[in-house]
Amino acid sequence: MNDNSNAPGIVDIPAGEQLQKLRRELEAARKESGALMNACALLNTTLDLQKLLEIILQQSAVLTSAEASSLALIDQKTDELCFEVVVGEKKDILKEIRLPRGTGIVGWVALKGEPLLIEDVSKDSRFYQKVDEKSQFKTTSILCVPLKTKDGTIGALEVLNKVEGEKFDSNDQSLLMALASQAAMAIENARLYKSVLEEKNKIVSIVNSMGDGIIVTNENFDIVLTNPAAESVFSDKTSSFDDVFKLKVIMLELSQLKSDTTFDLVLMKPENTILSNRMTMLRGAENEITGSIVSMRNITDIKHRENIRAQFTSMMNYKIADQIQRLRESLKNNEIQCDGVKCIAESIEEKVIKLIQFSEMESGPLRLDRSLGPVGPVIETAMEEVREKYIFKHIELKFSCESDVFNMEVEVDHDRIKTILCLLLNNCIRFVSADGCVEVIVRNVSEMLEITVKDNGIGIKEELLPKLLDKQYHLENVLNSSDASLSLAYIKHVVEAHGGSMKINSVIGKGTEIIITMPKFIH
Amino acid sequence: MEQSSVKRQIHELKVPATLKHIEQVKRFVVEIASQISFSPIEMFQIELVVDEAYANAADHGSECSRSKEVHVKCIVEGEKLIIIIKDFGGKPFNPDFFERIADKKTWGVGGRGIKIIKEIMDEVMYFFVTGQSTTLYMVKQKGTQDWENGETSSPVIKLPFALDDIPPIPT
Repeated sequence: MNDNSNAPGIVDIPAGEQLQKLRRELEAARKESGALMNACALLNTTLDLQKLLEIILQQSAVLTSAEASSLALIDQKTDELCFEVVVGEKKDILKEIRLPRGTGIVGWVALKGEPLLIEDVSKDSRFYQKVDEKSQFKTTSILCVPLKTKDGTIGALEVLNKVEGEKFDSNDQSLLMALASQAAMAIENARLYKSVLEEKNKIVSIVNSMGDGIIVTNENFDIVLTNPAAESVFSDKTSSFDDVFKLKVIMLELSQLKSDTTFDLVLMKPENTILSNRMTMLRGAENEITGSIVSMRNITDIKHRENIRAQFTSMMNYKIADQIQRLRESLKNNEIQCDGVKCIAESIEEKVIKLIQFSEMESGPLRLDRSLGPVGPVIETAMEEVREKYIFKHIELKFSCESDVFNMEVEVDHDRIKTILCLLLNNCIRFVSADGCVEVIVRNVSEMLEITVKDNGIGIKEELLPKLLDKQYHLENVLNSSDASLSLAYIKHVVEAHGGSMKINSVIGKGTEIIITMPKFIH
Repeated sequence: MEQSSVKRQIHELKVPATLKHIEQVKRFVVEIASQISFSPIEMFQIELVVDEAYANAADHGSECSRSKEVHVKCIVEGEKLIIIIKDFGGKPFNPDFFERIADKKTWGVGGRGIKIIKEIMDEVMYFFVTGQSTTLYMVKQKGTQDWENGETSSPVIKLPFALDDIPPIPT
């Protein structure tokens, strides 16, 4: 690639020699362009930034017959130059070196965006000695070119010391410039690829960590991404997730909608799951549909609770209506006696009480009617109310209370305390056999009033204990058995309205104790 | 659907949403179901399910309106029959509620279709798009339920509470 104008004595050389010289030059130029093409082709073989930088360095040294080469990229955060990759013996040392922008030959080139060819670095003030000191490499000559993209200079590529004592020339500079422009583009592509990959990984992590099920499809509604929450709903023992036919049916339905939509899925059998879902269309630059994202929220528990409540009220109402109907027909036919009326009335009353308890629990914290008064008489009144039933079943009912505690003034809703104690005592009767014993113990524990109801009945299974204070459990029980009551849940509701708490201890075959603790006064 | 490795034959029937077409729909499903050697009991069950499911789609879903259609798809996949019934009423309901209440309900008629469908079919799914459509997807696999040998729970609807819940009336 030598310029012919640089050969002024051309006329003095014999024609044969001149031809040979030109032939040599042509051969050299052909080799160089071949090497350049080869180098550029290699740059396209990888999107891995590190591998790419290594290729650039190797090829730049080969292309210019240099002893060593190095490449520095500008760190946008610190505005420093970092030697990303170094080829040669001292690569590990050089990799740690960071240069402020503008320092040294590399810094100058990166700052100015122009190439620099220095035949003797000792005569150039821009040369930064410390790099040689650290790397113990003796630099004599340098050829350094900028790495430029459309957005500006991203770094610089340099080759050091031409082999066999030769000097870098303008031909080397042109070759290195050509390589550098391809290299800069390849570096930019690799960086973009890396950031896209990182973004993708980030999105995948977010999607995977979500509690809602996520399904992403392409424009043909083929599934391209799912998260574990979605997979767990549709996983099937017999087929892989991709082959679940149900899901294909859903996707087919969605493909007919092709717009942002909310929809519900009730997977009745075998999953027993209810999903509330939203499909959002993904759109490209020209608003064309490129896919869809479906988010699925599992609302099975919420729906289940709603159902139980709805069933509970409708069941109770129908039962009451049914009994009133029977009563009316019997009265019309004169078939019924006083006892019968009383019996049906009690049954209706019991259901109405359940409904009242239920609605009180549903409507949030109770509005208490607190007043100041002694605790003992309230307990005694409640015990009197149930005593008849206890005598009938031959169960002993005891009251243990110190006299000062009996007269202790407490600021509570006395009517409700009496009601819940009656409920508790009525509850005990069902689980204590004849000749058993139920004891009510009232104690003063610092600022708290403690009421314990203790029986020597059949006891409660350990696994049932935590459920006994759960309203939902009792609601379901009432739906399944007319024997079940809401009492315990209601008692807890009243105790909590007083700012207190409730605890149940039980041993199978030995008995149960229910401990209610509540503050004596409002602060 | 055609991309799957499993070979499936898909048959489709579109009828106006009136109860008049119930026999046509049943014949359509039964004819396709006969490709699988279901037992006579299973065939009867399938007919019962189509009866209930189509009645729901036409009656509750589309108010028996002639201007609306009900689409019935039947797919045979090995020994599996897949039935998809879609109406365009777009009125979502709570199938779980109807299924549960069927167990406890002693008053009125009807309202047990969903429970029957769930008892008989091996897979049941509802797909609701409010204001647009309701799709019921059901799968019946040959020989999974054998009531005669008592291998599954009885399809008889149980009474929800003890009879003695209603107090005896002394006369």
